[in-house]
Amino acid sequence: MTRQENEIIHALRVSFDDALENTTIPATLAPDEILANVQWEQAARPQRRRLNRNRQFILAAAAVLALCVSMATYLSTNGSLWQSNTMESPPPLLDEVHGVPHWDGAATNHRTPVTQAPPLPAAQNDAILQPGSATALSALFQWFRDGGESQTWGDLRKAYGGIFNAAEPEKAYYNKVIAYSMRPSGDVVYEAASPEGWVAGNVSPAPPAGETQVANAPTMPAAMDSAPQEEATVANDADSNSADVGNTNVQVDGVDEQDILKNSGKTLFIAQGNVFARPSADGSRDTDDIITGKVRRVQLLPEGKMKELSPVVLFTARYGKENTKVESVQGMFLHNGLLVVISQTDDSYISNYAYENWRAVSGKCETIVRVYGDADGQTPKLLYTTRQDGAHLSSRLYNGQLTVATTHSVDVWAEDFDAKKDSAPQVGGKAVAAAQLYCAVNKPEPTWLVVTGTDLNAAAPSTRSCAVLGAGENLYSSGDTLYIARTVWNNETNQSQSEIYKFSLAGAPKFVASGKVPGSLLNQFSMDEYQSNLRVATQSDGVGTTSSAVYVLDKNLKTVGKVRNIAPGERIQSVRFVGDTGYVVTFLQTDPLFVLDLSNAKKPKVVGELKIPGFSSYLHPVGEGYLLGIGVPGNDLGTVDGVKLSLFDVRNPKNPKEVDNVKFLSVRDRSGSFREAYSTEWSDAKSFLTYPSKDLYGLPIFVRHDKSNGAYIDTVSFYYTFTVNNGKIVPAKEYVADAQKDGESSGEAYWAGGAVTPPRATYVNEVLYTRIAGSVYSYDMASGQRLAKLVLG
Amino acid sequence: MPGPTMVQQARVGSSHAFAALYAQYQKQLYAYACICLRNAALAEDAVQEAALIAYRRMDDLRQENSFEPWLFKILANECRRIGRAERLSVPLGERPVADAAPDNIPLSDELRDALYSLPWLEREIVMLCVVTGLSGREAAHALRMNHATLRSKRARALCKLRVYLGDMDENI
Repeated sequence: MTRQENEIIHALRVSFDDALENTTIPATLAPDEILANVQWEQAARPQRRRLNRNRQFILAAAAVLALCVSMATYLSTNGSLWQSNTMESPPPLLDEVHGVPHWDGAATNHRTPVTQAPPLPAAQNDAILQPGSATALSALFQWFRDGGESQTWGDLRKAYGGIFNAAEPEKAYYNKVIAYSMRPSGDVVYEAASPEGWVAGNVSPAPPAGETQVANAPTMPAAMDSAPQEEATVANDADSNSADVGNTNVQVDGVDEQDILKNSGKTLFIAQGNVFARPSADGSRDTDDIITGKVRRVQLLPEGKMKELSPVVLFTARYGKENTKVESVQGMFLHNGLLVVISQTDDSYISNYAYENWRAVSGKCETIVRVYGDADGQTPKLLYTTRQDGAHLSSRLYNGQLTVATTHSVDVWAEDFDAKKDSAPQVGGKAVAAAQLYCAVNKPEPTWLVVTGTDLNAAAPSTRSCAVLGAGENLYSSGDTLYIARTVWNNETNQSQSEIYKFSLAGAPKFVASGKVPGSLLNQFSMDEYQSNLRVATQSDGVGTTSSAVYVLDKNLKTVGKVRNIAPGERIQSVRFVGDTGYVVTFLQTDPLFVLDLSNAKKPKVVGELKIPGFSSYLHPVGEGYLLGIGVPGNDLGTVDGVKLSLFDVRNPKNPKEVDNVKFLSVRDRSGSFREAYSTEWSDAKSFLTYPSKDLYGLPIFVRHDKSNGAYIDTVSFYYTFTVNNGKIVPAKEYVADAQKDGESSGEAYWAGGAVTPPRATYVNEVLYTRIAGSVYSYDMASGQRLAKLVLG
Repeated sequence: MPGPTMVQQARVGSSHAFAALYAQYQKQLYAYACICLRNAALAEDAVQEAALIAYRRMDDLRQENSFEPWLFKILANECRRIGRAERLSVPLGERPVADAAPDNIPLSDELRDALYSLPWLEREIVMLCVVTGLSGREAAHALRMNHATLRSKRARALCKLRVYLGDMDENI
C-alpha cells in the first residue's frame, strides 16, 4: 500500500476503534445467545458436525468399504473385474481415492455400466479430469451451491469421480481450415490450426508491402498479410528503420506483458483506468456523472515534442444508471499496428456517487479485450472485441498470440443460480465446450481458471479457450507454454501447497499437465522454464515452520529435484532464475542472497550465500555474472526507510559479493523536517527501465518533503538512470519531473486515474519519456535536459 | 505442553469454545454487517447466520490462525446474500433512501456517509481492511477476488474516502 493509503486506513481504524469501544450489540447477538443457537444446531444435527477427525475417518472408511462392497456385489453380478481401482490404504481419506467407480448418482439412481468408467491410472493424483457430461457438470455445481451440506467431503470425491472422467486422448481436429476472410484489397486469406500452431496464408498474392503502407491502412495494417513475427517492435518509418524503441520490462525476452504504457515508436499509449465523476464542491451531487475509460495517445514528434492525438474511448458509463458497467483498464499490448486493450468490468455493484441506493448491475466480472487497428493513425478503428468471464489475472503476447487468463468465480449462492446454465464459464457469450473444461487435482472450488488464445495475425477474430476448475494467482509464460500457480491449503500436512497448471499455447490453449509442490509462490518470477523443466521457488508457511525451497519439475510437472529448508524462519523477498542458476533473497533481519546451482535438475543445490543488511525485492540480471537488486536498505537490526540499489557480483556462484550500491535514504534534518525516499512497489517490475543497446537502467524514486509540523509540502519524482561498468554502478542522468504539491498527487492525479498508476519510463532513440502522475515528460538523454511536458489531466 | 487451542476445540465441536471465539469478534462482525447492509435488523440476521454457518463448517477451516479472515469471509458472503435478497424483494421506488443508520455504532455521521457513498464492493473492501485489519491478500481471498484487483479497488475506494472526508492529515 502506498503511504497515503496507509494514512487513511490508519485514520479510519482509529475512528472505528473508538466506535467499536462504545458499540452496543443487540441482545440476540450476545455470545450466550449464539452459544444457545449453536447448541440447538448441535442437537438438531447430531450425526454430522460433532465428529472429530478420527471418528470422521472411521465413518469415511466405512463409507468406502460399503461402497466397495456394493460395487463388488454389482460387479460380480455383471461378471467383470474391478481390480485396478482398489483403494489405497489410509491415511488418505476418501479425498485421495480416485478410483471410486463411476457412479452417476447425482442425476439419477441409475448406475452406469462399468465399461464406461475408464479406471483412472493408479496413483495418478495429478490425472487430468474432464467432465463426463453437461449434466454431470451441473450436478457438481449444484453441489457447490449446497455448500457441501448434502454430502460429506468424502461423498464429494465419489461424485467427483463420477462427474469427471479422465481426459480422452487428444482429438485430431487439426488440418481444419478455420476461417477464410476477404480483405478490403480483395485478397482472400485463411488461417488454420496445425500441429505446429497457427498457419495463416493468402489465397491470392499479397500486394507489395510498401504500397499499402502509404494507403493509410484501411482496416488492417498491411504488415499483417505476411505476418512477419520478428517485427514485434513497431518500425519507426518516420526516422530510420533501426529506431531504438523502449519496451516494457518483462520477465522473458520476447514474451510481452500487459502494461499501462506502451510505446510504438511513433506514439505513446497511456491507459487511464476510470476517469471518475467529480463531485461538486459541497459533495451533494455529481457535477458530471459520466465516467469514461480511455487510452490517451501522445504523438512523438522530433526533438522530444509531443502532441496529444484523439484518445481511444473504451467505454462511457453513467453512475446510477441501470445496465451501466464500469470497467477498469488492466493493460495494453501493441502488435503490428494493432492496439490491444484489456479491461475488466467491475463485479457486483455500481452506485450513484451521491446518496442514492446502490444497486447491482451483475454479479459477474468480465474481462474484455478490444483490438484496434491503425493504432498510430488519426482515429484507431475498433476491429473486434472478445469477452470472457472472470477477473483478469494476467496476459501475454508472443509471436502475435495473445493469451488472456482470468479467474471466474461462479456465484453458486446467487438466488437465481441455475446449475445447468451457469456452471461453465463463457467466452464470447458462449459457454466453453465441455471438451475444453478440465479439473485438476485438489479439492475443487466453484472457480474457473479461463485461458483464451487469440491470434492477432489472423484476419478474423478467433478466440480459442479452455478452462480448469481451480484458480490462480501467479502466471508465467515461456512463450509457448503457460504456467499458472495457485496456493491451496493441504489439510494433511497443515502446510500451504501450490498447484501448478501447465498449458500449451501452440494453436489453441490446451491444458496439458498439473502438479503440486509444497509452499506458496511469491510472484511470477518464482517460476521459470529451462530446457523444458520448470523451476519453482516456494515459501512454506505452515504453523511455526517457515522456510524456502526450490523445486525442479519435469515436463509432466513431476518433481525431479529439490532443495529444501533454505533459510528456515525467513520469508522469500525475491527470486530470479538465470539459465541454470537460481537466485533467492530471503529476509528476517538481514538479506541473505542464495545462489543455487540448478545445472543438474535432479540435484539442485545451494552453492553460495551472502548476508547484507536490508533486502532486495526485485532482481535483474545485468551482463555476464552480475545481478542488480532493488529493495530496502537496512542495518543489523532490520530495515530502514529508503531505497537501495545493489550490484552483486555472482561470477563465482560460491562466493557472491555485493560490489556496489546506491542508497536513497530518508532523512530528518535538524529543523525536524523529513525527507522520505521511496520507490514503487516492486511486485510491479514494469516501472524498471531497461535500455539494452545502451546498457542503461533506470528506476523511479520519489522524495517527499515533510515539514516539521507534519504537513508535507511536495513530492519530487525522478527516474534515476545508471549503467553498470566493471562492477560499478555508474550514475547517468536523473530525469526529474515537476514537484507535486500535496493534494495534486491525490486529488488531481486521482481523478485522472493517476493515483493508482505507477510511474513508467520509455524511450525512442535519444529521447527518454517518463510518465509520472498525470503528465508525460520528454528529455534529451545526452544532456539530461527536459524537452517538453504534456499534461494529460 | 499447552492444551488444544480454542480453535482446535471448536473444530472438534466444543460449542463453548466457539462462543468464546465469537465473543472476541462480535463487535467487529456486527459493525461490518451494519455498514455493509446499512440496516441494523438485517445486520443482526447476517451475524447470526454467519455464526451458525461458521460453527457448522469448522471442519473446513484449513489454517488455525486464519480463523478471523475465514469468519469474515463467511459473514461477507452472508451479507451479500441478504443484501441481494433484500434488494430483490423491495421494489425500486420504495427503497428507503438511506436506511436508518444503526445508532448503536457511534460512528461520526461524516464517516458513515462517506462509507455509504462507496459502492458495495468498495465498502466491503474498506471494511475488511479497516475493521478487521486483514491483509490485502487475506481480504482478496475472503471476497473471492484477485489480489491485484483488490489493490486497485482499495486504492480507489480510499482515494474517494479521502476526498470525501477532506484532507485527513489535519485530523490526524
